[in-house]
Amino acid sequence: MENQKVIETFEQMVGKEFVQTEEAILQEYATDITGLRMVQKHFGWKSENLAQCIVKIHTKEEAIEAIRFLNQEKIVNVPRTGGSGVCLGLETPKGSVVLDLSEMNEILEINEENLTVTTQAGVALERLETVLNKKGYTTGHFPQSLPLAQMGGLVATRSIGQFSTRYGGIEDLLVGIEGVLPDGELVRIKNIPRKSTGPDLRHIWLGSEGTLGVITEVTVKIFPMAEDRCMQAYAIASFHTGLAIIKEIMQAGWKPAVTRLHDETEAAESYGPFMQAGESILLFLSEGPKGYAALEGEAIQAVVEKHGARALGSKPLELWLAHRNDICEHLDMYAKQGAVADTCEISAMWSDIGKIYTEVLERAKKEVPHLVAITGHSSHSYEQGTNIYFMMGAMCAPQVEAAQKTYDQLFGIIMETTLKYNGSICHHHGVGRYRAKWMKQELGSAYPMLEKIKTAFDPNGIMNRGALLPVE
Amino acid sequence: MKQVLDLDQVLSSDWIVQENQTIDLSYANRVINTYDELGLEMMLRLQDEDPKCNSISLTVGTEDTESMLRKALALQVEEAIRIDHAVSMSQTPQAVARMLCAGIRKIGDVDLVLCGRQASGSDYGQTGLILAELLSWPCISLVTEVVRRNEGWVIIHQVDDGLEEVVVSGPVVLTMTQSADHFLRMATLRNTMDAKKKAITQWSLSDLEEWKLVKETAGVSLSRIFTVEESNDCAMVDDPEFFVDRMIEEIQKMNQSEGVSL
Ligand SMILES: Cc1cc2nc3c(=O)[nH]c(=O)nc-3n(C[C@H](O)[C@H](O)[C@H](O)COP(=O)(O)OP(=O)(O)OC[C@H]3O[C@@H](n4cnc5c(N)ncnc54)[C@H](O)[C@@H]3O)c2cc1C
Repeated sequence: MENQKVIETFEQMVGKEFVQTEEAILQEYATDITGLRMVQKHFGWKSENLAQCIVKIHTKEEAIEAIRFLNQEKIVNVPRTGGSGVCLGLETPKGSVVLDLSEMNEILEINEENLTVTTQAGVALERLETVLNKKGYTTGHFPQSLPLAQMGGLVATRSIGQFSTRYGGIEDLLVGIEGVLPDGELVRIKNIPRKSTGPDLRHIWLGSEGTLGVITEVTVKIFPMAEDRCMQAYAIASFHTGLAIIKEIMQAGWKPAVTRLHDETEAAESYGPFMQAGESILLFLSEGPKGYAALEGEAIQAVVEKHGARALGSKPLELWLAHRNDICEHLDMYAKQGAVADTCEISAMWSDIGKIYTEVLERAKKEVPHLVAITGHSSHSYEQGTNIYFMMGAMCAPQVEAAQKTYDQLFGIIMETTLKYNGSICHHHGVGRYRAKWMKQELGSAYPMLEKIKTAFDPNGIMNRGALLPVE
Repeated sequence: MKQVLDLDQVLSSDWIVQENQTIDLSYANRVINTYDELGLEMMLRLQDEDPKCNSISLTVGTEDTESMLRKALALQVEEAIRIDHAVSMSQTPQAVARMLCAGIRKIGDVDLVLCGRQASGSDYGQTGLILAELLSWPCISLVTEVVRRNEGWVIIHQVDDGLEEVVVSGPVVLTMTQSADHFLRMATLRNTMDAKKKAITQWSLSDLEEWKLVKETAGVSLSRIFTVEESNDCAMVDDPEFFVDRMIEEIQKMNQSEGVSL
């Protein structure tokens, strides 16, 4: 079908004012905020693959009608909400249609008996949290992108928040969900605390990244606000000792909501006046019902002291709490300085994670010619292992291609090293288009499962083609 | 260049004036003054354009300030000089400008001095201007762009209602301000490591022949610092029908209570 016909159909469907076709807007929607694109834009990058239009969806009925039409015409679409993705998951294929659900943003029900909240897909997490706080509740979900991300996108990327050790990732919080399948069928998975009725279908939506349908509504857990908090920070001689401390705390069964270990470079950068040369920093925040935080705090103290840590009091935690999301106001900060910079989060078992950290740093320092810095922290821990969130930056000639080369080199080192030690190439940002090329290695013999799910759900390949699974 | 504390880091709950007229800033990182960063970036751009251009970073401060100078060296500034002196709160820009002036005279062959328009903390916004006066050089303030042209420079700077372009031949002092596309570049790790080994020239005040400070504190001393109480009294005017009447009534009430008439 001709572009003009497509646009007219959508104008009739949702109203003329909710279909955007201006080139400047299409450019804005052409990608997400992946570090690579931030710097490339600074060097003059413009997408050659613009969508034909942006369609603002306001109801599930509109979502159904839009998807049905797109499927019938075999037009690729990219669902989106907050636009805070960082893996090129929102990059528009040429001639595609963007389904923007960010104005589908009603909080539908706060259920204080069952402790759940049901929202439409475009509800901004920060707004939801504010509304809940006023009633004495919290989502317990605090990704750094709290000021940007929305509920549909959070589920679609399997996101995780900074207080994850206590509250879990979005997969632990999601109770029920509704969405439109690629053929236009509306499906709902009802709210149940736990069940044994075959595979958990919520996991089809969790991490689907717009490739299996459009999420319209989600129900997530809520929690009474914690009554008590205990905050403590420690300096330790090495990053590896820090990992050993966290492992011991996790395996003993404690769940400090915030459990963070920053390496010496990050420690010096953010907590300089507290640190001595070469030290890493551990941050713990315990919270819960009265009495819990103090009890957990004491147990943590006993473990860290055994490992020779130096107590720094609660100030570093206060600073972290106050500044933890500041970056959202300066997203292009490094790009403006001409640096190719981004973050990359991987995970692995305790037996391997330290090796990945060490080898990535060694390789990057040796191989990347104009490296500015490569640092790492662990911010989400489990009994079996943890994540490492690498932050990296390098200078390059101020050209789009040079930025791509430098970015590929930096990212490649992390991906290769992670896979070498059986880690996962992505802990919580999602795969998007950028990491799709490593998905076969990531999933190994399980890869055909994902391929078959995709083909069964979306035989026409209309849903966010190129994200999650590589295009053959 | 001046080293300042990163005040953005300081928690709002910690902005409490203590008995000794200080605020606890002990946990704030030391960083290069934002406006001096702009001067530094400008100087590096001039150096990129013209390999014959020699660059020097000069500061007045204690050994603490060497991390800032090392950052400049890592960014490929050719030489770093520290005039060893602990600048105290009671010292006015006069004193610092005099030391910088003496330093610049000792360096000798200087065509262009780039400094920030002000510091981002403990600032008077005067150092660059006084320095120019002491050197008897022209001063162009609020500069956003500098380009080498023949033997001089084309300078763009902010004026009341826009930007002005002027052409100058050196020597000249420029005070830098923000512009949309000027941010200090980042040093590579290799250059940062190399810079750790580079020498920083250190001069004491007695090394500076021209150094004559008339009065150590220029008659200024700190008597108190205080925060301005902000009041956010708020009255809800929710009935649209009487909106304007209620607004006038509320404003009159507010002004009366502050002793001001409408
Ligand atoms: C500064 C910064 C910090 C971040 N910190 C974190 C963090 O701490 N933890 C974390 O997990 N992530 C983090 N992220 C990544 C990002 O915020 C998350 O991936 C977030 O979940 C995306 O939500 P969004 O609403 O912005 O989704 P979008 O960016 O709009 O979309 C992301 C993906 O989800 C799909 N999608 C969106 N809405 C729908 C829908 N309704 N139906 C189907 N598919 C949909 C899109 O197609 C796309 O593939 C960070 C990002 C930034 C920029």
